[in-house]
Parts: sequence; C-alpha cells; structure tokens
Amino acid sequence: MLGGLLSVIAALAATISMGMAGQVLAQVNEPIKPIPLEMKLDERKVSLGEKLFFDKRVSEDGTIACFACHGYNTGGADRTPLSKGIRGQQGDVNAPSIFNLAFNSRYSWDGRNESLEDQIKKLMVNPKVMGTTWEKLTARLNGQADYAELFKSVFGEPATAKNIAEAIVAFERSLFTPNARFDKFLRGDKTAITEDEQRGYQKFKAYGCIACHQGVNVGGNMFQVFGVMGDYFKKRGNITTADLGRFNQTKNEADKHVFRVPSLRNVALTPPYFHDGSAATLDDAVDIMFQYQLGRPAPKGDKELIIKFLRTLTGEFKGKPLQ
Amino acid sequence: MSTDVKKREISSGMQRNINIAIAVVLVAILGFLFSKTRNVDFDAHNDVISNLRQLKQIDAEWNIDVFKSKMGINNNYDPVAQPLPVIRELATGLTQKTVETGESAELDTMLKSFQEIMAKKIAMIERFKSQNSIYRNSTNFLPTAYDDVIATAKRIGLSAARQAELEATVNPVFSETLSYNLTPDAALKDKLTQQLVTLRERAEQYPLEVKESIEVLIAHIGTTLKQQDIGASLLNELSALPTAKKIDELSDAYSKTHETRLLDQQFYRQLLIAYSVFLLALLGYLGWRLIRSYRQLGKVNGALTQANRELKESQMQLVQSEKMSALGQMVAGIAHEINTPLAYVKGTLDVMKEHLSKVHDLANSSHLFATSLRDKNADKNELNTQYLQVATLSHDVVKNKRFEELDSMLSDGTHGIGQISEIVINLRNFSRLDRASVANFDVRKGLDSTLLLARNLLKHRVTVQTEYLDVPDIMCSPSQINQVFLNIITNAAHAMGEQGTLILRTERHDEKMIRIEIQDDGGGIPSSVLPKIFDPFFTTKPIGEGTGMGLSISYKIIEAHGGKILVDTEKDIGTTFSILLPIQQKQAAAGIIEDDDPVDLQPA
Repeated sequence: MLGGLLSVIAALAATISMGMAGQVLAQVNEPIKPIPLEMKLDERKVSLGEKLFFDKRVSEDGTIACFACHGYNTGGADRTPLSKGIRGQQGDVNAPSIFNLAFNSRYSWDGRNESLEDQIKKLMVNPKVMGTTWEKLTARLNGQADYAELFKSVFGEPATAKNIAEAIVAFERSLFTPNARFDKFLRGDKTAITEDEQRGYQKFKAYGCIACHQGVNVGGNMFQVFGVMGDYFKKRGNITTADLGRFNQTKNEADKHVFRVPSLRNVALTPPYFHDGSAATLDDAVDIMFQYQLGRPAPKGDKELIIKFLRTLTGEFKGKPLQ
Repeated sequence: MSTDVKKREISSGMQRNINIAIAVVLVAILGFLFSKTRNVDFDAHNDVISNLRQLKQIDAEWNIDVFKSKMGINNNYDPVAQPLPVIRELATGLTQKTVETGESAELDTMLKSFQEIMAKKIAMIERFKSQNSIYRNSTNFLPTAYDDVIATAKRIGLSAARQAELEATVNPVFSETLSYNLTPDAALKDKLTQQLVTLRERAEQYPLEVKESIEVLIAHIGTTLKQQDIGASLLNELSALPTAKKIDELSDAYSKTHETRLLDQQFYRQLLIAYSVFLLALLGYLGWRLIRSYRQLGKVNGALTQANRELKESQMQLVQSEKMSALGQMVAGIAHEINTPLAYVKGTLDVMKEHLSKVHDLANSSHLFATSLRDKNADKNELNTQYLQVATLSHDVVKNKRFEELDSMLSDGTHGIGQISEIVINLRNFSRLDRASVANFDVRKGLDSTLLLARNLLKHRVTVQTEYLDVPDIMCSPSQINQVFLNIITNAAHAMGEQGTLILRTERHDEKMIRIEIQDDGGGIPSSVLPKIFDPFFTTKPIGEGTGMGLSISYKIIEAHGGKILVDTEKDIGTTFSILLPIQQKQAAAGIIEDDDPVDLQPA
C-alpha cells in the first residue's frame, strides 16, 4: 500500500521533471545512465579475489587463470571468437567483458546465471573452462600456505566454495569503468563528445538501438531474440546448441535464439562480436544488428556516426582510459 | 546368610538405579517443557514478516515500473531489472527462515507455490522487456518508414499523380496503425491485416526501391500488430498473477503459525509452572522425609551410643570380675602353697620349744649349783645332789645332741620361710605391681612365675615340660602378658582333666618376633566352638565358673601389642596356642599398652 503510494509519488515527480525539460535535465532523463564513480567494496575480499583471478592454480591443469579470457588490455575480454579453457579446449561462446558486471542483471550469453556467484560456481566445474571440482579446488588452495593464511584472515575459515566465489565476485565488482566520455556528457559536460558523436547518439536512439541497449550498462539488463526482423541463424548456418540461447535453460519454444542483450560499454575494445564471435569488426556487428534486429538497411553515414558514438562508451579503469 | 545379604545388596543397587532413572526422567521433562517455552523465535518471525512486507512492496513497485516501461515513462529497463536480485535474496531468506524455524509442510507448499508464481512473473517480465523493445522500436520507426516511402518515390522521380496515389494508398494504413496503437481494437486489427495484404499487392506495381521501402513499412506495421497482441496478453497474464495475494496468504499463514506457537508456548508455560510446583512439592516431601530420617537416625544413634556405653560399663565390670576370678584362683593356689612351708615351720618351732625346755632346766640347775659352790655354809649333800642334777641334765643335752638338733631345726625353719618368701617374690613378679607397666621382659621368667602360681592347679596331674630356646627380652606390659599366659595355662589345665602333659616353648620366630607355644594334650576344641573362642562372653564352663572374657581379653592384649594369637587344635590330641609377639613396640602401640586399661572393650 505504502509502496504503491510511493511509486505514484515517484512517477509524479518524474513527470514534473520531464515537464521542466531543460538541457541538463534532458540529459538526466536519457535512457543511458552514467556508471557511478565509486563503489563500496570490502577491500580485503577484493584483494583476495584479485589474487585468485590471476592465479593459474585455480584451473585443474594449471594452464589458465580467469584473466586468460578477461584481460585488462583487451576490454575485459580476449579478442578471440571462441575462448579457450583448460587443456586448450575450445569453448562454446565468445567471452564477454569482465568489466561493469555489477550493473548487469543476468550473466552468460544465455542468462543462465542469476548472480555472479552462480556464474563462478558453474565456470569452475565446467569441464571446458576451469575443469575442476570444488573439493579439489578448496583442497588445493588450503594446501597452499599463502591462501590458507589469507582465507583465515579474511573469512576466519579455510577456503570453501562459498568464500572463494565471494572473494572473486568482490573483485569482479571492483572492475568497473566510469568516466567514459559519454558519461561525462551525460553528467552535463557538453564538450565531452564531438558533434558527430552527439549525432551518432541521436541516430542510435532514432534507429531504435536504444530499445534494447539502454540503462547504465547500455544493455545487459534484458533478453532479446537474435533475429527479430530476419533469420540470422538460417543465414549463418551450422547451428550449434549454444545458438539456441535461452531455450537451453527454459526449454520454452519462445526462448529459442534468445540471448542476453550484451552491454555496449567499452564495446570498441572487445571484438569480435556476438555470442559466436562471428562479427570481426564494429562495422560488421552494426550491419548485422540493422539487418536482423531493426529490419532496415543502414545508411552508410548514419552507421558511421553510430560507431563514432559507440567509441565514446570506452571508460576509465583505475583512473586511466582503457585501450 | 550370605545369599540374603547379596539379595539385599542387589535389590538396593536396583533401587538406586531406579531412583537415578526417575531423576533423569524428571529433569528431562523439565528440560523439554523449558525448551517448549523457548520455542517461539520472535526475531525469526519478525524477519519473515518484514521480509514478506518488503517483497510485497517491491512487487508492487515492480508492477508500476513494468507499466511505466509499457507507457514509455521509463526509458530504460534498469528499474525493471534491479528488483531481481533483491527478490531472489528475499525469497532465499524466506526459504531459509522457513527451514530454520521448521515451519509446517503447509507453509512449505505455500512458499513453493509463491516461488513458482514469482518465477513465472520474472520470466514474463523478461519476455515483456523483449516484446516491449521490439514493439516500441517498430512503433517509433513507423513515421520514419512512412516518410521513407514518400521520400523514395519523390527521389526516384515518380510522377506526381503516382506519388499522390501512393500516398493515398499508404497513408490510411499508416494512420490507422497509429490509431490502433493508441486503442487496440480487434475489428481495427482485422481491417488493418486486410489492408496490409492489399498494400503488399499494390507494392508490386512500384519500382523496386519504392517497393522495398513499402515492404519495410509493412514489416514494421506487422511487427507492431503482432507485438501489440503479445504485449497485451503478457500484461493481462502478468496482472492476473496473484503474487500480492500469495504474499498476503503467506503472511497470514506465518502469522497463524506464529499465533499457534504462541498459544502452544503459553500452554507449555502453564504446564511448566504446574510441573515446577509439582517438583517443588516433591522436593519438599523429600526434604521432609530426609529430616525425619535424620531425626530417626539421631534417635537410633543416641540409643546405640547409650547401649554402647552401658555395654562398655558392663564389660568393664566383667573384666573386673574376670580379674577377681583369676585373682581368687591365684589366691587359693597361693594360700595352699604357703600353707605347706608354714605348717612345716610351725612343727619345727614346736619341736624346738620342747628342746629348749630341757636347756632351760639345765641352765637353772647349773645356776643353782654355781651359787651353792660359792656359799661357805653350803651343805655338802646339797651340793652333791645339785652336782648330780647338773651332770644328768648336761648329759642329756650333750648325749641327745639337743643343740645340733636345734640348729638343724632352725635351718629347716629358715628353709620353710625361704619357700614362702619365694612364693611372695613370684607373686610380685607376676603382678609386677612395683614396676613400670611397659618394660623389657623375659617371657621365660613370665612363664615360670605363671607356672608357679598355677602349680596348685597342675600339681599331681600335669607334667610340665619346658622347651625354652633362647629368646631376647621383649618390650611389653609384663603383667598383661602374664595374664595371657595364666589364662591359657589355666584353660589348658582345665582341658586336660586327670592326666596330661603341658609343654611350653619359646623360640625366635623371625627378626622381629618371638614365638611362645603352650601345648596341651587335652580333648581339643570342638570345631563348632573354635570360631567363637575369642568372642567376648563365650564360655563352655558352667555358669559362675568362667566369665567368657579370658580369651577375649587375651586376644585384645596380644593384638594391642601388635602380636598374633593362633590356635591349632585336634580332637583328642590336644591344643596348641601360639603367641607371636614383636620384640620392639611401635610408639603408638606402646602408648596403647601403657594405658591403664589396655584392654579395648569394643566387641571384636
């Protein structure tokens, strides 16, 4: 009852502020929101999570660590169509960026994980990724003097599946990239992006990209069919299980080829694109989006403007612009 | 007798076990009731209720956000996506709390059904987001698509008439789509579907570029129609999902359960109070019983102490009479012993008196004769007569050896007195009244004095043999040890009847002890009597002859000395009492012995 009332008041306030539409207020009401400049995290867990993130001993054969597929210098992804797990096995999908996960509501291309903890718990035991078991991993970590001591001091207990995931998730949440030029623009700095980039943003909205790529993460908060206005998979051919997307989780016919809408934050740094890594460049990716999602041809100039806009979404990590 | 004792022991052991079991059960019941009164976890209940309230609020806000997205007031889906982790957390918390507090299966089912509905809602909202994006994208694009058609026609230089015709064909479809988007109406939809078919047919008449732009428009109008339908049915289904109702039901059910628990708790609390009262009453009863038992115990104890004291007194009297009886026997013996030399000395003195009268006559005659000789006037005849008398008398004294005989008689008398003196010395030695109660003592001398005192008892019947081996003096109370010897020897004498041999032995038993054996060849002690011989008041003698304390006291004396008294007896062969005594006394034992009344009168 009270909640309902509050919501009504909130809605009223939103309407009033829209009515007062000035320049800055208009920017406040943009469908894309800036990434917060700070996040509160438990530094001790973050630093333990960081150690685990970069430690190859986490994988069963000691060949890969988390950063193998999620490098800082490759936009938090690996610039490979399909990522490699232990024993050089090729994975099923393209690795998404590790940055700004805190602002997503679902994880993995098919949204199989509702939380980052779930994600870690599954990746560790996925035979194509870390290929270990929690028994083995905890035994391995507790057998190392450095980890035994760290877990004792941070969690007051030896490593467990729960606290390992908790530490890694804390670290993952610390990987956010605020202060993209576009965010500065959203915060009121009109000169932060060029006129072309501003026009690119207008095109982004006008063509309807904004329908799915919105919110803080410019995506990452909903599902969409890949091929709304045309059959992408028929065209591409060679359909794999991974191509079925969310259907693999729900077995609901309506969820066939449904994927989580990926975040476009730092998108310029994370080629190739799509779950199958099939689009090598941003240009290719935007083309495919126009054709299969928007159902219309993309005039060359507009497409270029949109790509210019997309490049303004590259943020800063620990105060330095990502490259 | 022993089986009775065992039975009693077993039954008392069982009684104890039963008592412990009852105590354990009583405490367990108390614990159970107490835990039942602690059963209601208010914090957990409050958590659950506040959790449900939050859920309801978030659910309501979520609904509003969904409708705001539908209306286009929300221009991004973050507000619609954000409740997901919160809802998940709350639902998980709810499940945990339900499991922790062990709620009923009914609640569990309700919770599951709520979670199912919530999962359905989450899935539906995901689908709504996808659908709404497509729908809004197409709707937003419609004017552009329409403009594209007209612009393309103009660009490729379509004649004004055909342009006008094209516009007249496309425009109604476009505007009716817009009005359908505002007010979705089934009739309008059918009409529009029809018009789209017509439009697709007509598009064939136009140049390729125009045809393509018309097809894009048609595709988006089609998408709009389709998504509008899906959207409407999704929202219908969504609003029909009874999440709020389920949350209310859950709240009610939790509250009901909580109330039931509170009632239960109240019930158990009352039960606990009643039970506590019962336990208090029980404790009171037990306390009363205990006090009563103590009182009874005190009474019995007093009676026993009194009885014990009386017993002690009577025992002391008995010991005294035993001593007197022994003394009496001794006195009889001693009187007899003294009587013999006394009679002898008396006889001697009588004879001496007879002899001395002759010497007296001689002395008188001699004195008269001597006086007459000095007298000048004395008659010669008188003198002659007196001389003859003296001669006769002195002849008699010399001839009859009167003086030798007197001398011999004096010697005999002295001998008799010597014998009496010896008895007196032995008597003194026996009682040692003139010495310290603890002293170095040669047991052989003790045995000898005792034998002398008991001679009257043994004389003419019993042959006494002594087989003394060399033994050191021992530290003891000689009078007590002598008492023991006299006791045993007296018993032996009684046992042997008309004839017998009493053998006394001494020897070194080991480094610390000496051994004294007193062996008789009497009838032996019957086995039925043997276990009781050292019991106080036990006697086989006729009433008035024995107190039954002799051996009992002997046993006590030897025990107090740290020694042992052993009996070896065989029917018709005899009995040997062996006494083991330590050469040195321990300090404490010496104290006990030195005591005026060394005999411990507690019953053995």
